[in-house]
Amino acid sequence: MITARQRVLRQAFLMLSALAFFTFIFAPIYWMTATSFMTEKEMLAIPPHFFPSEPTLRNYQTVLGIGDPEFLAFARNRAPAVFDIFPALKNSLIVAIVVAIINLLVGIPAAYAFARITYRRALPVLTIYLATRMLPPIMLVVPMFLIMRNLGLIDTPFALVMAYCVFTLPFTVWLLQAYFKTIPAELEDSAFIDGATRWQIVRHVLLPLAVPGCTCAAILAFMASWSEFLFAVVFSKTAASKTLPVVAASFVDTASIQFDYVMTAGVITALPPFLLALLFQRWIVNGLSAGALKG
Amino acid sequence: MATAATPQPKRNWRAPREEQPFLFFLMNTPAALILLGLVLYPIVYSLYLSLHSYNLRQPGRFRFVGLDNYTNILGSEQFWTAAQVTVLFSVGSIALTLTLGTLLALLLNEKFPGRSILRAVMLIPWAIPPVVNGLIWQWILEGRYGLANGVLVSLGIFDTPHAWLSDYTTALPVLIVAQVWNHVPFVAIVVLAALQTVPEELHEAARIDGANVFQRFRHITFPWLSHALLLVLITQTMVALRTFDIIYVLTGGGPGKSTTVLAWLTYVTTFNFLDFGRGSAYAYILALTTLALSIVYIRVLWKRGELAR
Repeated sequence: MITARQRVLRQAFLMLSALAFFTFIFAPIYWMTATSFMTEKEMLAIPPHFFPSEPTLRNYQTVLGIGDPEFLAFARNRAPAVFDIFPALKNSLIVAIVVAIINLLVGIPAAYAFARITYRRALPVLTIYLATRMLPPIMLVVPMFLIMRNLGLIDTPFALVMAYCVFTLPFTVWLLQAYFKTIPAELEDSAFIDGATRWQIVRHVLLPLAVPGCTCAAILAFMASWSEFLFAVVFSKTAASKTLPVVAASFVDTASIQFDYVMTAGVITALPPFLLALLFQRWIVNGLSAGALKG
Repeated sequence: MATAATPQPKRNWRAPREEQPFLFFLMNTPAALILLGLVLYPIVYSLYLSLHSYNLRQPGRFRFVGLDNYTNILGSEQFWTAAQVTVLFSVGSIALTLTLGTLLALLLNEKFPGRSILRAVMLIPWAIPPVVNGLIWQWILEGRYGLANGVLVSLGIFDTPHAWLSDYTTALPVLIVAQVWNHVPFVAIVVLAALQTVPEELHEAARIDGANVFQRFRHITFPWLSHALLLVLITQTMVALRTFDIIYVLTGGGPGKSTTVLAWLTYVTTFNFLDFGRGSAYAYILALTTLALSIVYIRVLWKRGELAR
């Protein structure tokens, strides 16, 4: 029998383990955020200040190009890359949103075919789609770079959109067809008996019920495109197509220590996926575990 | 989960007995075109390039060389060093990710005060873009002002700050830590989902029979999880073999060649030395390795019977 003493010890052990995991998971995020609110002087304090003693929004203002002109000139001198962050934010948003939309436009019909149309070789086709995810991206980036170069698409957001669709589409189709299959077809049957056409059934019966699945697929596609780095760094040359991860990583080459700006760029880059993950936690967890377990 | 073979007589709008390949392919056309054009064509093109000598630094010298790129690579010390680093990095990061992810899942499957907070926080590293992950660790481990040095020096564990990223012995472990941090949540989510399907009665019965917590894990939980663990093992192997972002940010393959994994070597060969022929051959070797490993995993682990649950 479990005694009261054992129960207390057990709870204490669980909570200590939880605290260890919490620290490991949370400390790096905290330190990034804290640094982004520090001045250059405080960032270089030895020993480090765990809490910013004089928190400032100056790093964020600099990114947006607002605030004291003298300080902006100083920042331009110290780390010119800081002024690439804002254009990169726009590029990142455009690319990720367009990829998410294309995923839905292309993924929904394909997923519908897998879920509702009888065809003997449907499973092999789906397997081929999923198999493309096994390919290492570095294998595709080499020929794709040459193809995009020949098409004159290097350094355009369009090249990135095309590349990201390749990575995200197979999973989107898979997720959506699995979701469609969980929706009972009886509703569609009765709509058909009432004389609705296939398009009307899809538009008015299936899709309204499939909104959660579609949202989840769109969010996962958005997040994957937002975070991607290899293609982004290979395809982009100027601020015209550089995305946030590329700009955030571009500080690395410079000699001086600019982690106040780097961490600010990091927070801006991490914020959208972070918020999405928090808001849609349940859906994402379900989507991921379903994707991994049944796939 | 047979997609096609579920006869539903009354649903004639879905024409259950009747196949509709035309409609099927019509609706798949956009997806198939994108995947054919941007996957199949590049794969074939890449194979073609890998059989040629093609360096952008020597324009006009594009010629067929057969398997020369491959034999050169397999005979080069550079390749075997990178292969060794790749194995070290992959084994280290996969073992740690799987262990910590499973422990975290087991922990979250228990009831204790604060569980909901840990659950909410757990997903964060998964959502953080890998580049940002790399940048954070770069700052934490910075050689003079970094947090790690600050803490270790003020605690008196180190006398002087340590340059973690430019030291041969610590650069690779640092990469592994960053990689593990990013991927523990995914493993934990998948394993937790599998854990929640373990029937409570099994544990009850084992408890009554006097099995202790380790025996219960060994003989009930673990076999039940093996399916999920195999899938996680496969995905994490693919992830480890393609790791690029954090190497770009943290070490750039150095110091020396100590963190030059195959994916990084492929990138450098192609985009720094502009040797697209040899780079394509590297990419093919990497892809075939990934494929071979997945097959081996499934063959060896699946057939052990433990996985048939």
